[in-house]
Amino acid sequence: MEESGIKLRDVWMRYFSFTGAVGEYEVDAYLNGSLELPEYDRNLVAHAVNELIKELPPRRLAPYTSNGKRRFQAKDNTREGH
Amino acid sequence: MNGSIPLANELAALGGQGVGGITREDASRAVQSLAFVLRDSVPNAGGAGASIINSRGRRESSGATDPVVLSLDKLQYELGQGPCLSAWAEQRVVIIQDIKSETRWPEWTAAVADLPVRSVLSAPLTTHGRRIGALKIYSQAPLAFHDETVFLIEKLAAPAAVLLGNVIDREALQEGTAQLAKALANRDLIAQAQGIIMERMSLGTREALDVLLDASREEDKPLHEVARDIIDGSVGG
Repeated sequence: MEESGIKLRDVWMRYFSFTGAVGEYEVDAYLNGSLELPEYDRNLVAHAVNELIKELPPRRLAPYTSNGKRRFQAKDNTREGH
Repeated sequence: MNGSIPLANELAALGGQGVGGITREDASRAVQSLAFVLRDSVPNAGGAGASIINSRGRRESSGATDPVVLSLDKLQYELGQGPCLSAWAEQRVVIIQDIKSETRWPEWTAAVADLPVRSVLSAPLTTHGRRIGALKIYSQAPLAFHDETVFLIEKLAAPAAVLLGNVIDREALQEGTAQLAKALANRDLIAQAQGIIMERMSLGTREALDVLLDASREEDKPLHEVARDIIDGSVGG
């Protein structure tokens, strides 16, 4: 969670919007491993984290250099280059 | 002893009275104003800048009087070294009397070697032990800044930090309020959809929410959208 920059406040807000009733302090403790939550709330927290992960900007891939090669045309051989 | 701070009015304007401002703009304007106040207040200053730096050392807003300052700044954050970062990290004023003979921050001084900069002074912006960021001034001449400059900078930095801190807090409050309002609205939607499912399928509250969660996972849709679909669907028939 820390790696992706997802903040506790965001997780708790999302969990809260799912009708979660546990406080932010407790969710924090749960995520730090010092408190157990009932399965129901654990699922809501997990769902919240997953939604936030899906909303993260996509990771940038390393750019490839195009070294001037033509792209391989598998089908249409009548086309010029790309 | 002269107790007045130069351009006190401009400094006060940094605090601002934003009315429903868009996030980040108030802070950007504030650091921009501060940059100009610095340049205009400090003798021999060629250019100046101010940055808001978060607790992880990442720059959140930056103001500058010219592109040279922007470059000086940008390279520091890219290389992870430089006078402003040191001023912020070590919480003290940093002076470069002549960049040509400076041995600290070797990668950064090499990277900025072509810029018209010889002297640099940087100071942290801190209020009540809370690190807000850093400010900097530069000059094309070496040995441009002295003890008096440091004294002046420290006098400017103190109220500037307080005012910037207020701007940051106000923005954080606005963002937090907006976020909470959205969370409440979505919670409402989800509770409504939950009620519809409870009635339609004769389920309890938790089972009904599980139905929504399953649908969210299967359809790869956020829960509030699933809820919206159910509510819209039920209005029709």
